[in-house]
Amino acid sequence: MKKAHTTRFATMALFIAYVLCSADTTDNQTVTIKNSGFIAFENGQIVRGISGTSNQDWIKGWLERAMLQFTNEFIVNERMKFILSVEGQFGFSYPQSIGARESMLPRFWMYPARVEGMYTPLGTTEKPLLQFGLGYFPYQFNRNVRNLGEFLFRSGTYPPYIINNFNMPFARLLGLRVSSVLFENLKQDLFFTSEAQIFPTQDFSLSYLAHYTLGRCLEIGAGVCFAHLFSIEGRLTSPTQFPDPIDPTRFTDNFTWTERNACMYIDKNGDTAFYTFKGTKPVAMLAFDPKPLLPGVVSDLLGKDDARLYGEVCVIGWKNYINYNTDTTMRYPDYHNRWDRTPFMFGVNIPAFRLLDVLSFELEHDSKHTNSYYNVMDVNIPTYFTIPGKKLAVWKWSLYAKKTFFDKFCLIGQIARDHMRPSYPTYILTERDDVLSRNSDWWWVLRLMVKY
Amino acid sequence: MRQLCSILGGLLFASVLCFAGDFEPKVKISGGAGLELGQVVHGSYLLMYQDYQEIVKGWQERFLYRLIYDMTMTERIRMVMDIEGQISFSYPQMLNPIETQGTRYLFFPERMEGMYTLGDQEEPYLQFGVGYFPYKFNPDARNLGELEFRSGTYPLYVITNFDHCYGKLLGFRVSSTLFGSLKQDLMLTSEALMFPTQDYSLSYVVHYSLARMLDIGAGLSIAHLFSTERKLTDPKDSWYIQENGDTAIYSFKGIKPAAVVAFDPKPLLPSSISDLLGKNDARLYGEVFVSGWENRKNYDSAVLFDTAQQMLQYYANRSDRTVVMFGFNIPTFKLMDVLSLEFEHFPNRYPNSYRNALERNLATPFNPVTPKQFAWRWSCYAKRTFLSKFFIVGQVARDHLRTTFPDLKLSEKEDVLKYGKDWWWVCSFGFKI
Repeated sequence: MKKAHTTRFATMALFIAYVLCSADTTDNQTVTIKNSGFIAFENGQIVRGISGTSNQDWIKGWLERAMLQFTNEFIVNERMKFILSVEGQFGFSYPQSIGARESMLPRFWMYPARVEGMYTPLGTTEKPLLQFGLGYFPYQFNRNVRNLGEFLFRSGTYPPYIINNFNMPFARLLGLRVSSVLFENLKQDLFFTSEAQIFPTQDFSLSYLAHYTLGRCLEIGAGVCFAHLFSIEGRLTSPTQFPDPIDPTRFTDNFTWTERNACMYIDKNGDTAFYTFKGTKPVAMLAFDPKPLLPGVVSDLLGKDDARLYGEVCVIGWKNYINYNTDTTMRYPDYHNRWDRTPFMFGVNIPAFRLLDVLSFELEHDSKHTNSYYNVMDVNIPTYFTIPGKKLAVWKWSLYAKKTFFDKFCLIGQIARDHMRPSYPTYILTERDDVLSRNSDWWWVLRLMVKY
Repeated sequence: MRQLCSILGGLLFASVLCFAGDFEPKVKISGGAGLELGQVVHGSYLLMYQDYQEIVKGWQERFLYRLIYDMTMTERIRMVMDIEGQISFSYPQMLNPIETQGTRYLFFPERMEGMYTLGDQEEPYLQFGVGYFPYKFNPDARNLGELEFRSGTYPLYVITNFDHCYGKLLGFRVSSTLFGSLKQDLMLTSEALMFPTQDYSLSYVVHYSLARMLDIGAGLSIAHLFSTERKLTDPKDSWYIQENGDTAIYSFKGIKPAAVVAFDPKPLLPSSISDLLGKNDARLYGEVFVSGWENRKNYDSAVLFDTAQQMLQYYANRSDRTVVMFGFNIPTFKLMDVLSLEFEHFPNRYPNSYRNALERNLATPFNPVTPKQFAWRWSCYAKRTFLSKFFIVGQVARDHLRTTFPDLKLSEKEDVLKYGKDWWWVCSFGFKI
């Protein structure tokens, strides 16, 4: 055991020494800079939906935004690359209300789309045998997904909730990445990332994902994320004390006794135990492309992505927590059933015979509980948010189409009942729940994009 | 006067056009990013509460990135657009206000400057600059010091920001480098950081370098010299009695002299030793700064003779507003880019706070009943570049840290590291292109 540690330590020391000794070797090299980006104009409509905040029906709610992105890619050499990409939005709020006057004005805001430094000590940046990345970067586990799915980094636990955004089937992660491509068909990624989206932020998670491609037909992938593995403030990640000793405003005046005590449960020994935001999220994906099996005359008619079938399953919190408390009047739903936290999806790229770049139809099966992070953000407790009597649609669907023309222009359309939440300028009034939560709810959106 | 300005403006414009000639404009794009992780090991903050709250192991994190466009339009005209973005988190995070629990995406200018140069671009004998630009008075300071443009008067307060050891100024600059060793800067700048904003200050800074060993510098800033709104710069609600019995107003206007000296022993050492040392190794440097030269002693008998009222005698002694710092770059023999140890003596009669300026618009110190604060600040800063583009920066310090908060009303106005046992550490991993 001790020898193994010594060997590991020596290997790490050698690697660090190699990195440090390589210092100042690239000073005089010419840096190649590639510029790219896009400008987009997007219009859409919530044909029918419901606000989780106000419980009001939304009929024909107009959504609109313009976007721009500019990207500078700095290629120092075949081992070192940096990407600085910034995105901006000019958007409008929905709904616009006199009670929150900020919502009545258009807003412009900018944020990083990708800021990453990459070093590839083995292989090249395109095909790295070993690559290190540092920064804020996008990651897509299931590259076939257009809207639904892609659960691992677009979900939170506990409670389980899912987030998605139009034409953004990926997550942006903040931290470190180690990637490797072996034999051209085994791709592995290891992430050590800081939570930068939903409370409790800044906690560090560890994730490992692997993809294997078999003969151009079959792609399988699996991964696991230990969410909030390293907590930076234990009282926030695993709340146990009421009132909070550091922040006396938490869990007091505005919250009922039930809410304050909702993160407690009684375990099978009769002891009081506590829910936590920490959780293990395993995920798996599968994609099948029949084109290599088809006769050439048929497959040549099909587009690059046509006819692909794909699916994904994720357990958003592997561990069950069963509450043995018999007082049902004060119980929030517990986490006794893993299936309640196991969304799955499948999709097909409908053959468009090169008339479209892609035409995908996706279906997703969700939990019977509200897809909400209200309790997470507004009460800071790791429990489900429940709305008594509200009948939720467990199936989500999405139809997505994309067409590129004149090489630089692109038209993207989508009709869906997904996990859309409209944007809002005031943090406290931002929707925490799906607004398309019932069977009759859906929206459409259309984006015109120019790329350079 | 107006005619003279028109003539000068016309001449400048004509010279720009004349020199545009055949010059091929060049655009240099660069940038960088860094993930900062740190912890306030022990400290305290006032925030919205009546009493100070203790901070124990408070996590600090932010992600910074920069995008720089450096455009050389002609031999004499250059423009720099440097934008910094941040992903930042609040400390502390609370349910009320709930915004503290959200991630914030900030985006602001770090440098937006147009320059017209006569002479060499690097060492111009005359250069005009206009815009929003960084300015470093003490080239050696890594964390503490650099007070001339990171401080306010009256009252005295100092602001530090990890790995951003410079001031940022909005306005006009005229610079000159003569004989390669005498550098002068004259600046007319608008207050863009702290209340009362938009007032114009006039500053003059001179640096002289002697035989690569000794650098001396001096500066004078006449803060809020031209007030854009008199009632804000000279608030009538706070006043004192002068020696002659007249009433005078505590004004934000003030004169801030500063001096800096640095000694580099390497040229005196045998080359067999100096060759082993890094570029910054073994430098000794120091700085002294007076935040408000003029004493404003209150001759009100209630304050003058009552010892219980002595804390209301705000500006009787210049030494109470004089900050001294010194530092040393510990030799690391090229193992690090720099390893610096800095100390600062900060007068501790009042907290290092701009609370009264912001919340009450008064040019008097915030004066809570608190235990006496520790006068000495210290900082140890280390930086290592590797693979030419990547870096690691670390710092352990009791400096003038203020934790970040999204709401100006509730943001921390004073140091969180006030006492002997208070300190924090921070490290940054990143790259620079």
